[in-house]
Amino acid sequence: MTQSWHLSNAADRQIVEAARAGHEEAYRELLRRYQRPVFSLIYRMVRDRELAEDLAQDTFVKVLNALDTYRPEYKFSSWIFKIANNAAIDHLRRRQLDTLSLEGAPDASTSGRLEATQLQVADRGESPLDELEARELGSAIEEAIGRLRPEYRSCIILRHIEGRSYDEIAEVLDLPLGTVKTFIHRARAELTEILGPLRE
Amino acid sequence: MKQHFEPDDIPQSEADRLLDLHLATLPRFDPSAGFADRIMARVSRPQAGSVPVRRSAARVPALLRQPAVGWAVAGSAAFSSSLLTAWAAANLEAMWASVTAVTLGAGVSSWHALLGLLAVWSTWAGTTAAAFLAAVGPAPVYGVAIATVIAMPVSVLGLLLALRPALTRTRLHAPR
Repeated sequence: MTQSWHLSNAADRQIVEAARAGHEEAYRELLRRYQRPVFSLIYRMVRDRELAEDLAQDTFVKVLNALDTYRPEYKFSSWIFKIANNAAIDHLRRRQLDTLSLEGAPDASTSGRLEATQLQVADRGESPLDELEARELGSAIEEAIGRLRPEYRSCIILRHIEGRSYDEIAEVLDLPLGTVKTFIHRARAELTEILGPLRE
Repeated sequence: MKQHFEPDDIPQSEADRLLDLHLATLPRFDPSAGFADRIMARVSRPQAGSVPVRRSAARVPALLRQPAVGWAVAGSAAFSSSLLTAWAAANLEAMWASVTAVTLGAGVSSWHALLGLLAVWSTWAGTTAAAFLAAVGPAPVYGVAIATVIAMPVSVLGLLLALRPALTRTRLHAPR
């Protein structure tokens, strides 16, 4: 039985313990588990792939270099999402990039910059017509999420895309549980209004 | 698949269902190739096989990290230890008549060992003091009395220290 098999079945806390003991495989397992969720969260928040990669990298470097300060009474996922969300929010505050569209950042001055800031909607391997419709639908939803204020956006992404509980979202965002529920309710209402012309 | 409609065309629950359906179609995105390697190049990790520095909170059993359980255990320990001490002081003569000092010393030590087990660490100081004084004190009866009085606050203090992470639970910390 190899160590990677063992790690892939282990709980986050056990992997963190192994990483604290210096096992590289444990670091890589944490990366394998969280690179997509963390990158997706940041990408949807800042809507710039290159920038999202930089922020996601900084997030992981911070997390992996500070494993000794991780408190095991909290979920590891809450901790890493909190750091990722903080990185994205800090950036948005600095750059005022909270109302970007799928067509690229409004401050993009060159075609290269415009392309870099477009949110790429993934191909789901359907027929060309289905794919086109799915891409249109996906684009519309992504754009609608992008029009939400950052706090609402974090809540919607964590709740509906990452499937996190209200309690965990409250922990990640440092907000009271009631505020999280209100934010999600309002964000859903805004999304429903924006997505009004769309239907299954 | 797609058609136009006004938001008021459908009941709210249907709009909610459609929204959930739409959100469920959203994928997660992959970072570019080599993402993990670039991060690993910037991470300084300890030597494999080295013993990690463990925080005291990590050594407290998971159940005791719940604030309600922590308070309940700490309160029970303080209350029962106080009762034991008071009872021992009030009944020293009778105890001396009925049991030997060794048995009493063992009982006190066992009780504090149990507290030690709950607290996981630190309480051993109280238990050790009790056992030592019971064994080598000037006279067994005075040794036990002194040991009990010393061991009780030491044990409770140890327990409170061990449970401190649960009793003073703070917000999720994020490194800067």
